[in-house]
Amino acid sequence: MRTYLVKRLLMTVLVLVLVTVYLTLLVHIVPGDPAKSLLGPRANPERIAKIRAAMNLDKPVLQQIGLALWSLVRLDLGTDLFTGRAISELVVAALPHTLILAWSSLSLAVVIGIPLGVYSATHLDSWLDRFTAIISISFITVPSYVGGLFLLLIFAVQLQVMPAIGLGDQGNVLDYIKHLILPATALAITWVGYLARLVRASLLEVLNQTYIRAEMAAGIPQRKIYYRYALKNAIIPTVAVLGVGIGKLMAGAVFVELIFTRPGMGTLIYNAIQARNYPVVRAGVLVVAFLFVAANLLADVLYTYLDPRIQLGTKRG
Amino acid sequence: MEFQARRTTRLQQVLDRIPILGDVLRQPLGALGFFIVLAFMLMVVFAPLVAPYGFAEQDIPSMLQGPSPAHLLGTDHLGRDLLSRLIYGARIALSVALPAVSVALAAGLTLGLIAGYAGGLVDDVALVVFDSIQAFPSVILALAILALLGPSLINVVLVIGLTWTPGYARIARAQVLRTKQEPYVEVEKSLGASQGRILFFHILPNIIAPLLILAAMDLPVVITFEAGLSFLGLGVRPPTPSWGVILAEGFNFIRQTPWPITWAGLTLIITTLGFTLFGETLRDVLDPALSGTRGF
Amino acid sequence: MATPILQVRDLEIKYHTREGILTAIHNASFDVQQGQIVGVVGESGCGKSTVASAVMRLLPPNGEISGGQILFRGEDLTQLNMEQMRQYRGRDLCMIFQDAMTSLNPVFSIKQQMLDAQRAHLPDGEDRSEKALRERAVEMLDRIGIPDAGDRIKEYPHQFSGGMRQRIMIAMALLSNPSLLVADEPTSALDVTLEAQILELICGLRDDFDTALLYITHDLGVIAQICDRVIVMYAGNIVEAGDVLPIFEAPKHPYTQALLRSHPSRSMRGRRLRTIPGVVPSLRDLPAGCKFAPRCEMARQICHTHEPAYWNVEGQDVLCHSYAPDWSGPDAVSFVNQARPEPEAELKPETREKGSVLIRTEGLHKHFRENVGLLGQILGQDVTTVKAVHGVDVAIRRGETLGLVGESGSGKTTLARTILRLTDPTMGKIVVLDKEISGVPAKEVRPLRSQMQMIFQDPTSSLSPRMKASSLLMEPYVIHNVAKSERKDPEELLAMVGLAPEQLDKYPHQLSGGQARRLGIARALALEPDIIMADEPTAGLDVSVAAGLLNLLKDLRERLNLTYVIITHNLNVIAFISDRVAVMYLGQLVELAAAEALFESPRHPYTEALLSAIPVPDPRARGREDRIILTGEIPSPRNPPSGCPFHPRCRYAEDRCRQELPALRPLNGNGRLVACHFPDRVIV
Repeated sequence: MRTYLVKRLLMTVLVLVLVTVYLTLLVHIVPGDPAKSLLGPRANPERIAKIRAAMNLDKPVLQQIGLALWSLVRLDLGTDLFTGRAISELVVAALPHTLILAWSSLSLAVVIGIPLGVYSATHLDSWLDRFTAIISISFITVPSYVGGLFLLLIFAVQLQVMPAIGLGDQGNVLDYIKHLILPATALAITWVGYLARLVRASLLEVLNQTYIRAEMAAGIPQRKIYYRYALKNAIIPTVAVLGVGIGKLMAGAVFVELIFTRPGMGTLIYNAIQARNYPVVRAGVLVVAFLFVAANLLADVLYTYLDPRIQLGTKRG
Repeated sequence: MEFQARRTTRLQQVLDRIPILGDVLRQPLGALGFFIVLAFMLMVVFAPLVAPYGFAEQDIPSMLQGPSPAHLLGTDHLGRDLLSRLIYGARIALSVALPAVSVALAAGLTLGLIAGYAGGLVDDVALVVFDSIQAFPSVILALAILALLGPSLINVVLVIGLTWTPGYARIARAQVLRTKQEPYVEVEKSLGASQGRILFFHILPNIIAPLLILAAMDLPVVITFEAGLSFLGLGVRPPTPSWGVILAEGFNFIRQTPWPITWAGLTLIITTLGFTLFGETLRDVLDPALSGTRGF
Repeated sequence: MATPILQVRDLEIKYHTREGILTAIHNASFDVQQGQIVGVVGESGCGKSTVASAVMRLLPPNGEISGGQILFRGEDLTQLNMEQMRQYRGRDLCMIFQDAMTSLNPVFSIKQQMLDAQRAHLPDGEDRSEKALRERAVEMLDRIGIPDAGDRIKEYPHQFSGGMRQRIMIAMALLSNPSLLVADEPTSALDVTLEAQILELICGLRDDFDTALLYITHDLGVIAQICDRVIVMYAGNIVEAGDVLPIFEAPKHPYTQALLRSHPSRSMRGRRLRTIPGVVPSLRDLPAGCKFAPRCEMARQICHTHEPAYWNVEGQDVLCHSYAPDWSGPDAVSFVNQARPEPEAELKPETREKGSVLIRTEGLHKHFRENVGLLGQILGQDVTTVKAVHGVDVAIRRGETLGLVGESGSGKTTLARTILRLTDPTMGKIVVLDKEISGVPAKEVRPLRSQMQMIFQDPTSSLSPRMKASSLLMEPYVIHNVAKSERKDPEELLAMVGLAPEQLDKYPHQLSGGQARRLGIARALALEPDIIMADEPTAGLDVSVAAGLLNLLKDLRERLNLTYVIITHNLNVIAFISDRVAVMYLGQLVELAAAEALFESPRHPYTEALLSAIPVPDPRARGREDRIILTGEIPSPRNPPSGCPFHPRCRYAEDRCRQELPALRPLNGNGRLVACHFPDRVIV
């Protein structure tokens, strides 16, 4: 197992290097002067010179890659094209909000989705099972932006019971949470449906195994079989999915942050795109990609840790 | 005593005769999905005939209205009929989703086949490349590229194609690896078949079917994805009536009228639901072993 | 006589499926006495597993006990609710399953599982402390034969070998000293030597604990070896029931008779096996009247129209019209004894042309190195080498049938694959038809492939799923660019293996196991090879279907003067069809001799143990004092013992065996080769 983890770590580093390389090279895929294509047709020469300098666009490509990697190692994310501020500052200001949003959504989805899935599988074909099936599949088809728009429309605009904009008073925890409810719910909707179905399917597959039958033959009570023996087997693949989920939630955050006018990585990147502030775009995408990869790695490690078959290695006899 | 066949209604008997589709239609959810998809296709094909107005027809005096006899679903901020725009929107949705998925499927199949069969260094390199593309959450990747290329329909198709390719490539690769180990491949080797023959006649036909089914099930996902990109303003450009564009415009005027968001949102959800239900039922009928292959 | 522990009366079980309601068990009645071992035998689909599940009330959700009673100590289990039934399960009534790997929860330790099993049934007042429960568990594991039970109880199922897992499963079942143990094919997946151990264990337990056993199996040999009473099932009915000796010596039901006659064994050498025409009916298409009538040689009109009743004949219960007082035809027993015009005059092995050497290997080695990449090596992982085939010298002559026999890890399949160059040898020479193919690039081997063909183990997955039978048959010709005029007709090929032309349009998954095997043989014959290697030709087939296949192989051998290498662990098949036998153990050839000589007087200790472990369908053969039960299990090929690989389990081993690897040497002439330092120790 140790080998596996080390190998995984190395692959991760390699991937991160490649990501940096891609982003550096991306600018050059459009024919013509990269600086002009970044800034659009109406850019003034001053801006063009600035961006050339900020992103090292004159230098040979290999050197650009090298410089980009070097900045990475030094944790230098570059400077904002317009304000000249260090982008790291911007990221540090924006990232926590996105993380909190993603985390809350995931927790919400887990707290609702998993028990729903478990109940469905253990009470097959009951009315709740069928109801959950319908709800799950409906929820899965609601993308975060549609969910967000609907929630905004119903609760903030029409009924006016929830705030529509912003973070709220950051000093006041309750207010912060109040502003978090709608966005987190919007993101969580799809995942509730997905988790419920996944858990249900995993659990059913586990319940079909011979060892469950053997446990029934041993007279172990039904409840214990479901909630201890079967669940532990079913949870393992679910954990793997959750790890990936955090990453995907961060992506979905773009929409939700926009809709609810919250600061965060999504807003940062989006606004930068609109303003053609490419250094910020690049840095933002880099950070998000890194976090995504980190979350995947974490999920892998957790998965390996939970499954004794992998953890303890091959048999001895 | 031996065997009591279940009594079937006339409808069930008719459905039993139709291969594959009949099995899909017997399930209520499958039937629902089928009809939604059918309605969608009809909208795509017959849009000019069905839509009461053109999608760009403006009528400023009637702007931001709710449903009325003249405009069944209401109008947007430029007085355009929402119903018509939504109907044409189906065309946009399909004209992005279908080519994008096809491109990704073709590219993914090829790459996965090569990686899986060649193995060794080629495979390792391929995996690293796939990983690096999949390291970006799809929306973020799409944003980064579209920021550079500029939004347009063809760019969106290409970007989605790129984003989806590693997923298909991985699955194709996994299928090749699985098939490589099947006894019949070894049997063919023992008969003296060449590598090319094995790859083309024995491995390929056995992995295409699952991929096609999975690709079909991706259509609703891609439709949603494109709508999302358009919502952000980085997909199709207005006045092209992508559902995402309608949502974006609705968002700008959310306090004035709830209708664009409501109808566009519902249309998107229902269409996705229809495709998903139909696709899943079809998959269960054709190849039940596939359930659970795909992640999110 | 005391009340039987289990009394099943008129049991009827139905399954609710999408197409309708199937009757899986009909009118089944039998008793199990305390301390008695009752075997339920039948081919696939006969319902024996359903009976086992029904007794434990563990039928799948769509199964229903629609009639009859299951009386356990007088109480009707069919009337109990789930909680009442649960009280019985695991305490008085236990079950063990076929595959121990999937019968133990992989993510919980043995300790947790055994403790929970006990907690489910603790009577009040008993010590519930973890310490006490653990002690009981360890004690049971010890008794069952798990070494270091105290330490190993903390481990997880995958850390134990297959045989150990089976024992653990048995230990868990016996924790509460149940009155009845239901065993569903518990040894079918095990090696023969391991099976012998487990069977002995089971019998011992019966003696010690007086546990009654309901033993489900398809293997007549196992039945003969351990059961007191036998129940024969066919298509959901019990067709015959009785004590074990009379059933085997004088079977009364035509199906039982046919089943016993189609079992390959040493005594059937030189003869054709009896096969049963037709196939087992599917539950959807059960014939009216007697279910066996369409396949029965002595069926009369009444058999097809009316269901038979049970008759008690000489202590056996038989479900057959022919025992009714008003039966007008010949009776079953005399019918069987009638000599049928079978072509029994088969060419004796001596008269078959023994020709030149077709295939020869010298010092053949095939080692697998486990893929530990550079990284792993840096981190200290050892590179293990699995010596799958270790120095094998063998020569195969034209016209002979060589049986290659061994248990798991013996390397027999790897040897065959290496000879065919499906995988490259690590060391050594392979000479085929006077051409050396060991060091040669793969391209040069191709033309030779038409001469040597292989029939693979798993029939259906050996055939490319998306090709029709007709294309599959023609493919060898396409690959080797055979001119159209030289090709055989596909129908002709099918006819050679006894398949009808209608099969040409079918896809592999539409064929039955037996048909798929035959198609594989037909394909192998297309290029008129000199030598055919058959890997487990009868594995997974019902006895009657396997019999037909073995007869076919014999016929083809005669007609086409084929040379065979039969690879199997089934010694009965080897005894039936081989001229010479090569015994392998952990990658090494340990004995090579003419078949008759080998079975008569084995010389290698492993061969001796193997032969005595075969379950022979003859109840008189049991209880022999000279039966050898090996201890331990086959070591992992990754970690072979030093010196002679068999020495840890050999009853004659000495120091020299531990130190020195014995070479394969001739013994007493007659072409016998033995790899042992002390071959004379094996008592004849």
